[in-house]
Amino acid sequence: MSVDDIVLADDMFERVGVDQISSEHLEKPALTYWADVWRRFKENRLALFGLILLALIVATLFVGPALSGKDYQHIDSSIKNQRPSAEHWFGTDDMGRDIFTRVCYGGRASILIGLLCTAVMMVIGFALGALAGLRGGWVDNLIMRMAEFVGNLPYLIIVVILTMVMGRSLFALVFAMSLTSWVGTTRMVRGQILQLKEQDYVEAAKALGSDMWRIIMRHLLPNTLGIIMIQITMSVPGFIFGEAFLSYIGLGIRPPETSWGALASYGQEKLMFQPHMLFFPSLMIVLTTLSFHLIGDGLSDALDPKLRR
Amino acid sequence: MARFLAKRVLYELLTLFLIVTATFFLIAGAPGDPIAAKVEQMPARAQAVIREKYGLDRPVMERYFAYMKNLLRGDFGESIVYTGRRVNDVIRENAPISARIGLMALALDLLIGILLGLMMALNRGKAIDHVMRVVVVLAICTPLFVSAALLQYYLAFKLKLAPIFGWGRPEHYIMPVLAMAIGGIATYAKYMRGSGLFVIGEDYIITAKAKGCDKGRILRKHVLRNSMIPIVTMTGPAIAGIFGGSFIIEKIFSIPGLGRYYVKAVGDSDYTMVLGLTVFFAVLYVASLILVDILYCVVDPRIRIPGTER
Repeated sequence: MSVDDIVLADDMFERVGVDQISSEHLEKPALTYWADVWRRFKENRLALFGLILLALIVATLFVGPALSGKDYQHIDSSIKNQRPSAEHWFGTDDMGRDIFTRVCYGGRASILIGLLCTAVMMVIGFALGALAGLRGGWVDNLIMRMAEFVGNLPYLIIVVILTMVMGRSLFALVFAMSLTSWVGTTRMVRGQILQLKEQDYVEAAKALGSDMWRIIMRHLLPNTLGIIMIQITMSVPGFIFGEAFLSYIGLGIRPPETSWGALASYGQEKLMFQPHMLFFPSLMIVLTTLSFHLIGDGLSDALDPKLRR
Repeated sequence: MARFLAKRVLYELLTLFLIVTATFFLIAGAPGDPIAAKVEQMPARAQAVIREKYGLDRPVMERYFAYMKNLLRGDFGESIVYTGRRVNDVIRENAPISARIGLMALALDLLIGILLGLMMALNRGKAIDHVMRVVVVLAICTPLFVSAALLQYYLAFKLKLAPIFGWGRPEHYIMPVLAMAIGGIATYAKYMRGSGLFVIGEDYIITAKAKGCDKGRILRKHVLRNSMIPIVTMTGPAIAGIFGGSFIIEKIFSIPGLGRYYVKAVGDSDYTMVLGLTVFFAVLYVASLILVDILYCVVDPRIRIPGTER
């Protein structure tokens, strides 16, 4: 029997009808832009690991001293230079101070400096970049010339001179390190804004009567947030390194405050005999930098429209 | 191209001038008396004489012009803390040492970094690529003084492969150059890998293969040269990184280089020395920027030929 032999009669078919509800049903839930970015980020195991690692580190910094019960400044020569033990998780330094607690306090300073410098850099960078991108003309020209000049300055030398002249307060450190750091951000923001302002929704907003401020805050800023976040993840560890470098040459944070950089440079001198003094602060720096690095990579992959899944 | 270069050079010289001026006024305006520590014990008349010697009794603008005039003659001034020690002498004695280490490290960086990056790009996805990526990321995430100290501890102290520190014989070069090169190798490898992957995916590579080019020739004539362009643009900031790195390396390995003197001068608050060395570093830095601009013109033929779209 072949297909040609089939006779189709009306009673072989039954009317099913149209189900209005289920025909409107969406197969894939609609996601907002950020929900989609987060989903893609989460799928990246390395990036997720970085995020969790960073969260763990920050949590330890805050909770650590309470857990260990030690004072980071308490000097006790009788227990100096001890290796890690149950009593002193990271050992003690050459003045008998508990290294674990010092690393926790130092971490707070290091990360705080990193965040502050990045924040200043972002604010200046975004403001100048947006200004240049939006106004165009001589404003754009002026800002770009300034950026070129400042970008050509030898960063290290500027930081060293400024710190030497301004003293070693937290303000001086942050000021010195962020003063010339805004150039890259400005260029990036300006590029992004130049792209964005040609978009239709900006034109629509203008037609509807939005003032410049509203356009910036509601349309341009959220869309620039992606690359800004990536820049942040690259910058924070950079500033932590910068402060570590300054501590190493003697210009970093002033005692009794300490930072990972200060601890590590102090430990480096004693490396041959007390390696644990260098090991733990360095480990924290490496882990923190690594986590930022992984998060940054993950973010840039999650935000990349060409990798859309 | 000549016009482009000339404009850049002029611009960079202007930058240099402004750096020197800004640094001079910053240091001149620093709080405190630069010779205070030195003249503490001395009677008033001796103080006045010393003050006059360093020109500190004259107004700032006058000092500025005097300094610039001296600078143009090549005189960088005299140390405040170590009387009689001229900045020029310090530069002359110690700069070659720093320069040698820095250049050797840079050569290593480029050589090994580029080859490593290329290898990683060619073996993408394989085990060796993954392993090297982890190593590279770790190297980038470690501060220089940590990796240098670790190198010193394991290679020199434990394995006794090279002298731990010191200066004078050829083998003293090994550790500092190696330590200085690590970060650079990792960075160049990372960027070379990315650049290499990008170039390999380009159409002209497929064309070359289709035309029957063997792998080695494609690598040498097309992949290598085109991937290197972004690397070249990174060399400028890399040279600046040599200064910073030299501070640390010279301290760890006890090398009498310029970086170590700079740190010492800062610590001593030796204002003239700091100013003089800063100016010197700024000159080197700007020179490296100009060099990179020239290199960039040489490496990327699209810049040389007018009308080629980028």
